[in-house]
Amino acid sequence: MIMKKEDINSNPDPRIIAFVCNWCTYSGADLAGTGRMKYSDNVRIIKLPCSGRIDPLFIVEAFKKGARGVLVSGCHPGDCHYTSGNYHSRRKYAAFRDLLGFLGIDLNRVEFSWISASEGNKWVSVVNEFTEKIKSLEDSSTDIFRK
Amino acid sequence: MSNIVDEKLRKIAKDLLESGEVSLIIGYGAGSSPRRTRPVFITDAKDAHKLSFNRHSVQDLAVFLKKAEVKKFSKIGILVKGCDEKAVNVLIQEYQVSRDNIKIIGVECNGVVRQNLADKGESSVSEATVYDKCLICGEHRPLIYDYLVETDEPELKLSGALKPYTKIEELDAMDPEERNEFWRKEFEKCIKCYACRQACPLCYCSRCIVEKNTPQWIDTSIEEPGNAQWNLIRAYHLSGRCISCGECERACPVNIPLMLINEKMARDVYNMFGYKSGQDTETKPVFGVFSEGDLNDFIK
Amino acid sequence: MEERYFEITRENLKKFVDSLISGGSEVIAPRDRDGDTFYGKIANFDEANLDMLLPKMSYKEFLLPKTEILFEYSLFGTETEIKDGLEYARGANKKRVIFGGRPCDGAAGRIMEKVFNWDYKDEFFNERFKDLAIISIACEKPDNYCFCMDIELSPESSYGSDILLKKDGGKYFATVTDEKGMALITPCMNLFKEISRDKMPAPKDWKKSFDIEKTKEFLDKNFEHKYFQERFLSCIGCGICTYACPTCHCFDIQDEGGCKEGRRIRNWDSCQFSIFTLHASGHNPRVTQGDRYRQRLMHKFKIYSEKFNKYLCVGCGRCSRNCPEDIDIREIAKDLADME
Repeated sequence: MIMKKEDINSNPDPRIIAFVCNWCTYSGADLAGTGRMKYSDNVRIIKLPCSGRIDPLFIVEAFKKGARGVLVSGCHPGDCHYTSGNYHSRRKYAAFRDLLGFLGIDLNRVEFSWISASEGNKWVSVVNEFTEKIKSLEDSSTDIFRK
Repeated sequence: MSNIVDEKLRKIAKDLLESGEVSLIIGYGAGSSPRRTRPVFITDAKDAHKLSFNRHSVQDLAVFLKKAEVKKFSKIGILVKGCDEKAVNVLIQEYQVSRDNIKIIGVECNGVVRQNLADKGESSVSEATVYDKCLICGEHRPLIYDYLVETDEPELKLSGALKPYTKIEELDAMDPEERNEFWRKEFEKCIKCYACRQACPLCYCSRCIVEKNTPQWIDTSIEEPGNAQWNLIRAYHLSGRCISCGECERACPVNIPLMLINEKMARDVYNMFGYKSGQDTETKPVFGVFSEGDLNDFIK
Repeated sequence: MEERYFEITRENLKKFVDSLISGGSEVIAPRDRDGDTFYGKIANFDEANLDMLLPKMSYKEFLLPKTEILFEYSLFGTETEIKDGLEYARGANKKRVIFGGRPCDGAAGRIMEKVFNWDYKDEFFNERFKDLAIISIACEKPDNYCFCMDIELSPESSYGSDILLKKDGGKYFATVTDEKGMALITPCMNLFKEISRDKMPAPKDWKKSFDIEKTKEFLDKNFEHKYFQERFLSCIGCGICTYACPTCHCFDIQDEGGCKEGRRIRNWDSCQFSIFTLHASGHNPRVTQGDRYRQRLMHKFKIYSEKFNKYLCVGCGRCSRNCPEDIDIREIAKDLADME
């Protein structure tokens, strides 16, 4: 469902979408869960095979459907399950991030991280910090992708 | 302009067609007005006299290399300016055309007159009348060619007073809100004719992302936010590939400054990865490779 | 209504337009933007550029919006709400006046109207068309891309315009063709001076440059002619010709949305796209760009004219001026007329 601008702006609980890779970050988030660590429930996780599979279109789509922040996370450099997926995605996102910024998207709304399967703690802190940051932002600077 | 250039061109084309080295020459010919040229397709040496090149030859003929009807000719000779030639390089680099099947007839160029000015009567080449790309042109003479035709146009004089793409710096200095507003206004004009895609020599996908509808990534409606999505994705698919021929912007019927985005991305890609597109045919495309030392600052 | 004739000074014309705007009308006129001229809303008479020949694009978006909502739906629990898109179209042009276009643009609406009413009556188009008021200004100097005189219109034709203004010796002469035009000027009658028909400036003798009937004859007989494939090798299929055209009206119906809310819309589309005719099977009856541009010629000069005895073209020449590869439709129509 496409949320209207007003609905998104008036929502005190911003929706955050996290695109994560199956092998590291998802397992890391899983570890946080099994370790009963608490983290912000604003985040919705979408699991993909590899950070290399996270198409920039996904970010645009998330914003279009009302997300106020998007997190992209994968394996640390050198640890990719598919050897080099995260290297490719790093290059890709360096450019895409610039493009987003140039078109006027507040880059505080897009976050990238490397989180391994053993870093449940890092997952918790990344998500919590990101949520706090999103909550502190005035909403409107992703308008270009919204109705 | 002089007939010497035209005569040389015609001679090359005639020889190539007569010897059977190519079965088609793509070049410029007289257009609908003295200040326009149009693409012509020569298959018979007898027609070589139709070829002509001048300061109004704005089109990037490399765009035709992606066309199925043209591909059928297999052995093709193509007339290119320095900027257009880079498109041929990228097409070869990305395995869209084979170097063996293509004869590159390079023409030296010292700037082409903006078409909208030419239509209003402008016919002189000066820094105020040429495209922005001409002001920073580093390839007046094509980088790669099989035949070269030298120009007798005087060199483009640059006083330095006119800076190309100054809007990029202006936009960079703005805060996101202002930039957002600037592009919202620009994209609002978009009519989604996709002429930017069709005019681009490097947009060769047989099925464009906007034509895929399971799922429909980009809204079909000709309004926001679909317009912004389209323009973002078009620019993204060309970042690190765009050779700044400016055809998208020239074709755009509603005058969206698309080259600002393309040029910005070209600069960023160069700053981050030291890569310039279209310089040769051997280097791997910038997003086809990686380095362990790539920029990592933006990732937590 | 019988045509009526008026005289108005430039000063009074300015007052007239300004009074339309202050009276709450949205006046759309040629305006300078980004180094070119486009139709756009003006805040006062002086913003309009009446000296240039034609705006780059036509104003057809006011008759056939780029995206027209046919209906919208939304679901709340077990409740379903459906909103008829006609509500948006109804009255949308009630207070809208197109001012300062040329006779070719004025004629375009009436030419499209026939298509939208020959079989199914398109309520959306009709709603917008019936209210849209058009004040055109006769051309003094058509350029090399203009060919209205060749297709049974002229730079001074009042066909389709509610009011046609003709400039002559510092004054304007107005031909009011219908009630809609009268309704516009009635509140400002003091600015106009009614004159008799014989006081109107005589029409100039506009020369034809080719015989469009011959073009049609060629198209009748030569569907498979190699001219189309050869000439349109240079067409890149950008579709600007169709998007800029005041009479091209093809659209594509699409659904947007999901299970909670959504809408059915119709968007501008173009016969110049390969996907336009692509079948679900993968077969495409129009394979080459030659096939596609031929279709455009056929529709404009043959198919439409057989049905409605007019051409689906007003000769404005926008497709030629805007074509990035310099394909000139007038030259082509002439070529075809001259071919045996």
